[in-house]
Amino acid sequence: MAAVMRKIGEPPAEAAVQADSDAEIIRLSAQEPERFAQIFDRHYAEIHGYVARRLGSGLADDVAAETFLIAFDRRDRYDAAYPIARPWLYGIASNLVFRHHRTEIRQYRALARTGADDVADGHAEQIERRVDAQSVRGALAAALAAIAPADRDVLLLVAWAGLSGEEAARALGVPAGTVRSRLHRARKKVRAALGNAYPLADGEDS
Amino acid sequence: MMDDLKILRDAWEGTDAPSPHARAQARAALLERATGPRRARRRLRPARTGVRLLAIGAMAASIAIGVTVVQTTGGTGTTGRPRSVLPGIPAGPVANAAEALDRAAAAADARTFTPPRPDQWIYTEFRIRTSVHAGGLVTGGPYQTFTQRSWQRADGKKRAQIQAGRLKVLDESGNAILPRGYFVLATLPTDPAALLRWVDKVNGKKPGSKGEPRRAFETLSVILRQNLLPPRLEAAIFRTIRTLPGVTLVDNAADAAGRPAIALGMIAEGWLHEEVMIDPKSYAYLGERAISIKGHTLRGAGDDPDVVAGYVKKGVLQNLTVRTAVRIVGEPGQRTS
Repeated sequence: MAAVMRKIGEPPAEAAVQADSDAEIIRLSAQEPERFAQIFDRHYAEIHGYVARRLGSGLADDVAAETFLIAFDRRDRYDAAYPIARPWLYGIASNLVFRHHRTEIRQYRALARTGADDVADGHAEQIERRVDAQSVRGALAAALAAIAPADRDVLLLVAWAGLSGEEAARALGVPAGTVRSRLHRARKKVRAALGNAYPLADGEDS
Repeated sequence: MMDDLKILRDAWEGTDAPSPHARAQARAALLERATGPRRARRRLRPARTGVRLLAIGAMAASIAIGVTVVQTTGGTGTTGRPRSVLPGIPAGPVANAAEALDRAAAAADARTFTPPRPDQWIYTEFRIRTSVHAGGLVTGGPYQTFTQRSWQRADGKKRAQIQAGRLKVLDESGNAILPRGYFVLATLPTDPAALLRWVDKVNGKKPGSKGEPRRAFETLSVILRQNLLPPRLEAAIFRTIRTLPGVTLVDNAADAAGRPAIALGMIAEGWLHEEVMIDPKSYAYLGERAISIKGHTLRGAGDDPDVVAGYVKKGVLQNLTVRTAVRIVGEPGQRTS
């Protein structure tokens, strides 16, 4: 037991490496490519989840995998001024998602009709908790299908990926002002959709 | 105000986690690309898509990117003939890559040099100018420049860098593909043919197969860039690059940090010239540059290779890495000896 306790108290041997910023790992991966696996370990689940929302989990398997291969190939170009690689990875993922934009729109339209997708169907225990949000999902999906791809990228990077406007700008390689105007346009459509779904809420809140 | 973003987020809450199978496959694909098949674990793999630039990371500052025709003279003497600034090295502009590399090798051989002690540190400083877009190609700007500083102990066992404003000393992991540390590098062959054999071996060349000149060039460039080298090895690297087919001289090279440069490089992917820069007077190593030499359309990956993701015009700088210091210091964190 004492031995176990001592072991727990010791910092793991890899602690120094684990504490490295994404930028440092990417820098080192230029000469030690295997290190890039740490970037995967840190961010894969999140990128996969984001892509799955946009394209469904089947395509997300491919697109998330491809995101990290492309990131790996471009690691020499990573801007080391940014310690966290999330926006960079989301930018790559966004570009890949765009290549499936027809699938994406089909999925939103299907959701607009049913209000639920296969993912939701598979989680009966969660549905009740989500029922309020789910009930507006159809209206939102219809709005997402109608938003221009560039605007939708910004909207979803902010709403789903949780990026700041500045991070979204960096991810997409566009000026911050462009991100603001795209977000503004997209949110107008989202609000209009919510307003139609819940005229009362619209009246109270906006 | 209605929080439409929160409603949008909540409406898609609870998406499935990736399946362990998908995750394992994706990770294996990445590792395969990173390390190559098991039998060639030590291999440096070239990028399959996108651009590989030689510079690690990005720096920034206001490096003037001018284009100048390089003058390799030290001025003209009283007779009107060009006067060399280095004894034993001819004056006048270099005619081709071979001549430039010969002079760089001779200059390295002639340099006075005091090797570090194993407990001393090598301070390296770069200024890198590259796209502001993380991971993005420069299609015509904007650029960012910044300074990158690092320290490596001469025995190759420790390194240090500034992280979040504080100096951080780390143990060097033992799994580097290229050797680290002055004393390890000092054991490399200094005969060009032997050095090239070593490089090809590092790059996973199979016995009997032809070496890949561009990968050899890249590997030699990285060793030049990242290290304080024994002059004999530096000279050997220049002489080895001289033997690689396809290395060309750029006679109007970048003006890096106000300094004119001779650039020697190879074409990557048919459109990008990756170059090593040397000083046109002293023939000392200056840094690296990558520039598009013809227009290039970037096509998408994924399922639709015809999607045009961007266009890089000819003559657009992709990366400029100027080594602004490489010197022996006593302690990590010190910048001057």
